[in-house]
Amino acid sequence: MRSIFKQLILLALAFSVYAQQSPDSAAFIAGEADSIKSNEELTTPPVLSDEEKLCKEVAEDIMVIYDNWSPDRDFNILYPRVKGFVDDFYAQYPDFDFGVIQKDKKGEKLNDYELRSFVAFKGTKNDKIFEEVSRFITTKDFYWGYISKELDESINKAADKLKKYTLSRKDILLADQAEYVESLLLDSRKFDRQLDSIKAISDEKVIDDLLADENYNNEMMSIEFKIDSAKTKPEVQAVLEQLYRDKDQRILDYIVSKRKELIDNKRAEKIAAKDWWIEEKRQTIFDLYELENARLSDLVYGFITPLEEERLITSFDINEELIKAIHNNDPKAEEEFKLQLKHKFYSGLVGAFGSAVIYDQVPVFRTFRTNVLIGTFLFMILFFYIFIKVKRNREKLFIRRIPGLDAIDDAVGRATEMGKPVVYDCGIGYYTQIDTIASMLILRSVAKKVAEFKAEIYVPTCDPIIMQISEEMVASGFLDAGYPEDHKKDNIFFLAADQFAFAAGVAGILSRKKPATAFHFGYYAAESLLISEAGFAAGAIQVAGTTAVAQLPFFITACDYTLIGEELYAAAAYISRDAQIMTNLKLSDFAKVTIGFLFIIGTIVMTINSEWTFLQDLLFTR
Amino acid sequence: MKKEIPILIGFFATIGWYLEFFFAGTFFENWKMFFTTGFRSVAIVGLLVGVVNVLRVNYSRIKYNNDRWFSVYQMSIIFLMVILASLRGVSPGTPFDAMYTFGFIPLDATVFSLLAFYVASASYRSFKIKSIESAFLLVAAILIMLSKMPLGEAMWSKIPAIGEWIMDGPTSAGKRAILFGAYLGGLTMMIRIAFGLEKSHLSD
Repeated sequence: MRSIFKQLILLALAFSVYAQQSPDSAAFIAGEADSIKSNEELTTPPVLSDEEKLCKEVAEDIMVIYDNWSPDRDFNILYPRVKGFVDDFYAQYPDFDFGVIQKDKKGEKLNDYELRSFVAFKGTKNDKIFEEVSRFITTKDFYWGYISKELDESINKAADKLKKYTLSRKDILLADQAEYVESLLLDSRKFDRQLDSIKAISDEKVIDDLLADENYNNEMMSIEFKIDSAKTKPEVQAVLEQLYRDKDQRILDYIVSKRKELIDNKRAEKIAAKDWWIEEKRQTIFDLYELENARLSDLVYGFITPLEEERLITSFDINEELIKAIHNNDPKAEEEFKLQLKHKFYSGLVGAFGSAVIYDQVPVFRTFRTNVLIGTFLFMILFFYIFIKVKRNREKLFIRRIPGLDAIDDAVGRATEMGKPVVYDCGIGYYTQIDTIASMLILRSVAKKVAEFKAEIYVPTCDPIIMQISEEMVASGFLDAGYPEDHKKDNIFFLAADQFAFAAGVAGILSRKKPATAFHFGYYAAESLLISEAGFAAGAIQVAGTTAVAQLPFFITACDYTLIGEELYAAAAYISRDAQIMTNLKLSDFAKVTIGFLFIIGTIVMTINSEWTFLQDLLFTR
Repeated sequence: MKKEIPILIGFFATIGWYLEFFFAGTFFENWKMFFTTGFRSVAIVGLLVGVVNVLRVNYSRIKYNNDRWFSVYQMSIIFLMVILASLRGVSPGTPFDAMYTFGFIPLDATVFSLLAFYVASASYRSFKIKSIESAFLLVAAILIMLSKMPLGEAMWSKIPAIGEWIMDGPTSAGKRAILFGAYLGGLTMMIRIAFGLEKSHLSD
């Protein structure tokens, strides 16, 4: 009986299970055909547009590059280094316990050994193992260089497909651009109007601001307002308003100062916001093709991202487990290492592809720089006009004197009289900087004077290329003077490429040689005072020249004569009494007058109506 | 031809760089890349020239000048660092790194810190009233100094504002005027060099 009952219960259970499943099953059976159909619908790839098809094709190209790359070569190079580094650490700290890391996390005190080993493992000094291991793995140059040629070719081939497509959409993009530029200009003007409107902050706004200020009560009390009796904010407001209505001088003064502060703050905020906005928008208009390419490459990334396991790694983590596994020769560590290399390659590949795509293919005139083109053309026309005019009327033209340059003759003569050398240094600028180029041109003229006066010149340099150019300039100067045999090649030498090492070297030369004259022409930073003070201490007559505005006060203080700004550029021609000096100075003066005139007109126009931005738009450059 | 070819190269390079500012495209990007790579290549060769020069100059000093005996130490240290870097690398913990970190960096910092003393001595010399202009300079300098320290504000609450005004107003106006002139001068010089009117750099 009991077993029958048991059977019945089991039967009932089985039936109830069947009963629960049957509707679905029945539905499945009934609707099997539909279901298969719907599954088919799900598995059928969505219809891709031509654009998407192209992106998918490019994504496949990239994946081919990725799949063909093997990490073995890099693994064989890098892994022994990492392993060696890890083993060195364990040889040095054989008792290193990973518990130290936990102890440090908990803030427990570490003993000397633990502290040293902890620093070497993970700590804050340069010898930390974490940094070293990640450096080996993350430095892409290790594996990027040797395949770069074929890799670049494959990447460019893939990128070209997108670029060609972008080119075919040229007209649409250009039409969009015009609209976009206009909208940005409108926004820019809006910013400027907001900036102007800040000036009109009302007294009421100032009072509100005062009340919003947390320190207002203390401030009020400090200027003896009768506010200490007021307990609540409305009471304070009432007292303030009463004082304002009564035209209380103290509150009026306070409001004036507060308003100024408020305007200044708001202006600063607004200017910062505008700068930020400009920075944000900077590339968008004018790199429209690149934007389009970037959009397409985003589509490409959409097709390539969700792939194999290693492509899902989002960040690389050097952790204790990995280092421990490397030390214990755990095969898992090797696997992990290879995976990381693959991941780094993948990131590098995607990055390289992105750079290859976001790159303008078509020579497009940057229309937004038309004003610069016209401006520079006008400047060149003016240059040649003045050049021709000056050549014809050289005698009649008045040229302003530059005392620093007039002093060069005397300074070199002084060196001859005293039997001491001349030291000429050209700063720390590179040979591509215009200050250094100007300095080189002056050097030739100075060398000529030195040769004529039979003095000696030393030229310490901070760059080997500049040394070569200096040598050539000095040799030419001596040749110009007719004394090429007096030129001593060893007097022009490379001192040091480091800024302060160079400064220390020049200061040393100045204090040892005790030159009669020292020239400092070129680009300078913090070493300007170090050099010029050493020259002053050596008793040399010093002439300096730079366009680095921050260094000019130092030179003016420590040197006898200083060439300021454009005088440096005019110096070479001035010394050689060349016709060009007149062109240079006259042109600078003409241009200054013209642009100064534009400044005044612009100021007047904007003062009359801040919405008259035509001049601003005309001169705006990007 | 010795002068004409460099002038032509300079002219075409200038035109290329000038047009690159106005036109975007592969050609100009490649042009820019060509010159950038060129600069880099020249710099590498230049480094070799620098090394040779250092060796040559110091050798002749050691050989012919008895007073330059310390050049021996200088050269020895240079060689030592090169040898150590070649043998043991430059990564942290190596002898090269130790020499750099515990030798070069403190020396560099020492030279830099001398600036503080030089600023003091230069200020002392320039803060003397010799004329009306120097009187203005002195007053402005004292106000700026006071505005930058708490004492100034404690003396008179408006001193920081005055200091700020001097920096934002007259000082930046002067700075801009200098820069303005410098840019125009630079532009003129560019035209002179580009069109071959300035030839002194070509041993003309």
